[in-house]
Amino acid sequence: MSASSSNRNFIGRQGSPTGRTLLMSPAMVAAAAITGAVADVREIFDEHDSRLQEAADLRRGIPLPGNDIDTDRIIPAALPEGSDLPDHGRARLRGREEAEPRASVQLSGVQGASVLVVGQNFGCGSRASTRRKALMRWGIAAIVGGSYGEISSATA
Amino acid sequence: MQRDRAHGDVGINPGMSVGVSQRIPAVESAAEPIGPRSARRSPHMSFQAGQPIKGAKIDVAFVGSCTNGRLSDLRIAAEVAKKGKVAKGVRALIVPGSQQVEKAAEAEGLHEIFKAAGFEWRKAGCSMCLA
Repeated sequence: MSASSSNRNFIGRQGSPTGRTLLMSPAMVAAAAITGAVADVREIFDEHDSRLQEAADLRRGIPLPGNDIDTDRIIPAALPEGSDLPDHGRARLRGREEAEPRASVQLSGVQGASVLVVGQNFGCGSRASTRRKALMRWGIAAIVGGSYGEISSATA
Repeated sequence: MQRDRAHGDVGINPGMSVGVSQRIPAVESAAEPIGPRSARRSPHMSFQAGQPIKGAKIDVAFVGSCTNGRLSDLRIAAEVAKKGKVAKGVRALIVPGSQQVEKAAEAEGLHEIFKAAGFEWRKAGCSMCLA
């Protein structure tokens, strides 16, 4: 019986014609290795240990309320397409003075967050690649939301 | 060797997994529909319906593959490796996902952590995925 972080669990794989394979994350494989059996890696770390969050693949999310957040609000509009981002790498959402003025939202203040939770039609507008770079610079690894602007979903 | 073409039906997507604190589902009550061919897989795995998955003994542990052999994967596995030693009777392999990852991991000293805990530190390659 093997504990494996691969994606190969065919009958007879992993080194033995009668071999059986249990697929799991690398952290879980290491936990199984030192235990000798399938184990819960979360029990190996003290609950206050910061590594527990990573071992359990927990991510902190930032809610970003509102729909139709376009790319000009996500990146400083002053930056032309393709230019490098400021050193602080922070994406700021600016309110726009329109019929519906929206308060600007700062993404700072949520330490260690890597998942952005958004509403409908997120990332609409133009300059999607700069939007992506801005969010990645900030440390966003994933976006979860209701729907995405077409230009953003194509260049995700 | 006779190939079992039925192997695609079970354990091929996350919907067919169980959490570590859960139990093996019966074929009839599994969350995803499982075809009759897959019922053959259950005897192969030798698990009983209702059996907890936690505590299932293993003989081999493999951290790696191009799928999950990233530097970040090796780092977290090393954090776990610091917590104990490979259990008696278990052969544990760590295979970096690429030569680049292998070099980066060694630069950080991850290989020494693994070796100290009794894991084998191997060269990047297909390893168990092809064995």
